[in-house]
Amino acid sequence: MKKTKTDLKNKGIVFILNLKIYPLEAVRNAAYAFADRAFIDLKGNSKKEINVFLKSKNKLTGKQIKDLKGEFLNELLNCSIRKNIFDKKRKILEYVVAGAVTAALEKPKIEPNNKKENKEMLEIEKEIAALQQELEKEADQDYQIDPLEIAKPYGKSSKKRK
Amino acid sequence: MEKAQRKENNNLFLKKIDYTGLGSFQFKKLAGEILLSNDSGSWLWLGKKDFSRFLSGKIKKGEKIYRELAAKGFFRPDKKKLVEMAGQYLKLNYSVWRGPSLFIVVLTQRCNHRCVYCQAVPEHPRRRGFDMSCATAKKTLNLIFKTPSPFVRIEFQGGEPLLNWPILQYIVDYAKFLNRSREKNLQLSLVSNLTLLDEKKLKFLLNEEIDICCSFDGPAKVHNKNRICLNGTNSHGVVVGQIKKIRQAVKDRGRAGSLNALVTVSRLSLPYGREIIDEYIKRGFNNIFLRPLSPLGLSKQTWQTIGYGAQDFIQFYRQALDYILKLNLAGHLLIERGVCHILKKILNQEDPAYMEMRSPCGAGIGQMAFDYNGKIYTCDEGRMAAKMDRDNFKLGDINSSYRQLIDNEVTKTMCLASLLDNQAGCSDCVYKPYCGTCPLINFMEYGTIFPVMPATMRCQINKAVFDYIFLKMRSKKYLDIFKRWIGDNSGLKN
Repeated sequence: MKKTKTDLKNKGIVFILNLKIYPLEAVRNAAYAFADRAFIDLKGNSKKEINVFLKSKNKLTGKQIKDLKGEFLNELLNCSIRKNIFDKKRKILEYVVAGAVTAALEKPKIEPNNKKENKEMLEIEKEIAALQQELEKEADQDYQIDPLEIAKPYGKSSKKRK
Repeated sequence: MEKAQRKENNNLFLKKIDYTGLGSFQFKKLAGEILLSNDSGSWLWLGKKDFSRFLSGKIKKGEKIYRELAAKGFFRPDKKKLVEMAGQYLKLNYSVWRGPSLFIVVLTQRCNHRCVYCQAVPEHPRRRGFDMSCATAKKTLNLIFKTPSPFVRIEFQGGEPLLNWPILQYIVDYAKFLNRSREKNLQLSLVSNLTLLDEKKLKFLLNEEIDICCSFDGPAKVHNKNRICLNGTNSHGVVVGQIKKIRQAVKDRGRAGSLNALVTVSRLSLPYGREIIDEYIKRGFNNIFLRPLSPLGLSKQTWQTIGYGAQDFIQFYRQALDYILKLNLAGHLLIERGVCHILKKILNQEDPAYMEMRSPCGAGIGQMAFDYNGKIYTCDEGRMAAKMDRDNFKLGDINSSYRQLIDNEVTKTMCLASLLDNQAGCSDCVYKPYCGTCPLINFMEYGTIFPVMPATMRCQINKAVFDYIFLKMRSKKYLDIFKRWIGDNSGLKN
């Protein structure tokens, strides 16, 4: 990396990246990952270098702008390594994912076909529905109205809880 | 000193490496030696000099170290050796190739506890509309039994699953009915706080051979701080009483029943490692599972109070393991189940089918979570994330076809993002053959399924645990204990 220019007035920083070190695709991915925090402009005609202009969406101090650049470079490193790994291991990854998903897709050959037993299950289902209703009534009686308010979601609790 | 260092670095200078003879492997410098591993799960310690000779192709065929390196596939393998190593790889990752086998069924969202670390965002027991219905349960099972896997494990979860007892009974009946024609290896298990377990329910659970798993955080001063019962009941007292009852009932029947317990380690638990272990022994357990917190559900909201950094947990875990090993050396069998899962991979090169520690993880292709309302998620954590308005991990619902649940973008994305070969920092890690990552936790914690892995809490914890295990295995007395843990499977049942 050669020149770095910080522009506090415009909340931005400009720097040059060497494309022999960072692949263009990784630069684009890192820029995309920063799109929620900053406006990014990538410029350059050369195949060797690219100009990156980062303009923060919030007001930043000089140090914060430099940190923003540092975070961008870390993200760029992450993207470069991930691209490198994916390029090298693409076949293995595709094979494992395809194999695991295909193995999970196979269907069993035997389907159940027992009408008599199905009828039994329907009767059980009716009994279960009745039991469930009974249990709901019981639940009403079992619990008081939460005197300590520990069942209330966090942030909604009253002073009592503290 | 500097000279010696320079000499050592020169020994490993890249230009001296003879790539033509080397196989594919990862390595790490640990405690002054080099640990090597490869994708088929073989591993080996080498001294620095031997490692240097290995890299530069200077180890001679007649040497013992050559034979060991060759047998474990660290030299470039010929066709015969490659086939053998591929077989080992498949064995080590067997569960990846057999389809979904773990099915979490959330019977209700209601719970009578408000545990400080709860990931599930529970509802009050008096609330309506948070239970699984019979129709949903039936469709759930019809989907479950479409898995090609010969193993089906249905795990009842909640809230507190015993609050929807009729549906639990129905699922057991219907699952066994379906299995008459499917002939799967069917296992059922209940994850409960045990407070609502009565004689009748216990009898049913034992008759139907349903494994019972409870949350038990150790002595009362820890358990009751972490796990608070809504109506003010002493949760610890109740759980201890129920554990006794279950053991007695199992003993009276004269056959094996399975009762396991889990410890979720909150910041409140950190100072009490030894007491937690002692409490487990006191209550008759011969295994313990010490799990770190996950930043989901209530625990995300209370993280400032109950959370901790990776180093805090690592210190706790190391001290706990030291104590467990000390007890084992004194003749008391106590197994740490997390370590046991890892040891099965390292020592036996076999797959314990532990969904969190495999590559790719179980999301969709190894497990699914069926919520009470009929929605289906990649895993239990997926439905927990949905409660935090992150519906990203939903596979479909009970009206989806089985094919739609598997053949979709969420399943494939999770599969790709949990493949360690696809993660920077993991693809060349020496522990890759035995490790795993959870894209969902990564997403919830760091906002991306591809985080800077070495900076994540789980990676730091996993590496520390692997370091601990490999270093301990260099001593015969600890290696013997570890072998006993994985050889004696009955140790996992009480």
